[in-house]
Amino acid sequence: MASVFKNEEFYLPTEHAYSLLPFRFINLDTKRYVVVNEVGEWRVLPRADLELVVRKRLPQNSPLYNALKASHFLEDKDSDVAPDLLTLKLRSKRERIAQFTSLHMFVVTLRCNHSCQYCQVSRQSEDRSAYDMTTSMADRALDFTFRSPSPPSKLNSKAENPFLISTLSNTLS
Amino acid sequence: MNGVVRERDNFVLSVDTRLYSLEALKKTAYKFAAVTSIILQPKTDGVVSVLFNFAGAHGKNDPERVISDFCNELLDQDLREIIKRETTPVRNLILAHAFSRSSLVENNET
Repeated sequence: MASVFKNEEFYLPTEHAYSLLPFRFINLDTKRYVVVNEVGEWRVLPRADLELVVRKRLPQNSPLYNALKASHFLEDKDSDVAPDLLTLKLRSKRERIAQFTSLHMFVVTLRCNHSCQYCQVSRQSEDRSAYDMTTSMADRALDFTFRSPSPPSKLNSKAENPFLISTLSNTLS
Repeated sequence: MNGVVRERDNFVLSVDTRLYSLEALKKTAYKFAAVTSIILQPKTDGVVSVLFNFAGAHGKNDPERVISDFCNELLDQDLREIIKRETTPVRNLILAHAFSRSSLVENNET
């Protein structure tokens, strides 16, 4: 008896039924490529699959199609929320860009009798006062700090021996 | 190697810019600047000659391998152009929405 239904392929969406979403790729070796989207979701694909995706020849019933759709590398008419989801993820991930700088570090002197491992400043001996920050420099540094669109949440003075230049440190405080 | 002609110290690859854009070709050439020196020369009817020179410091590199990798990279750049062409509007939309409530977007109402 002849089937009343046609083959599965008949019911599948036609070619070009999906749209690409922004992503980048680079080859790991001659056969494997890593694809990464705007929010850092990634997958490793064989080159042949990458080309199928980009040229929109990826079968929509393939596991890769669903995986890429779930990771927002492509979208189709069944789900058009991908750009909104990407927007939310991107906003969260890049929040610090919009916030601008909120930590300001003041190196008021290089004279220091400590050798703290976490300090990136090259330590100078006690008689090398040429590297001290003057009051006018400190004023200009503070002006610059408060020009930032973000409210400064933290001012940090580094690489100092507070007993050597305590007046300036107090000014900044 | 097919499609590659040797002219003294140079290897010449002809690329049809109806298939690959000049932009893709330049990006590919730039990527290979560390392993060979490349000069792009226009020929007739949209064909561009890519001259590979392996003189000097680049002499230790295998020309066949480099040119083969160049061709693969050119294909990759072509795919990147397709992605860019198709996704630039939605990418701009996503970025604009993502930062719409930040001070990165100018307030035109004032």
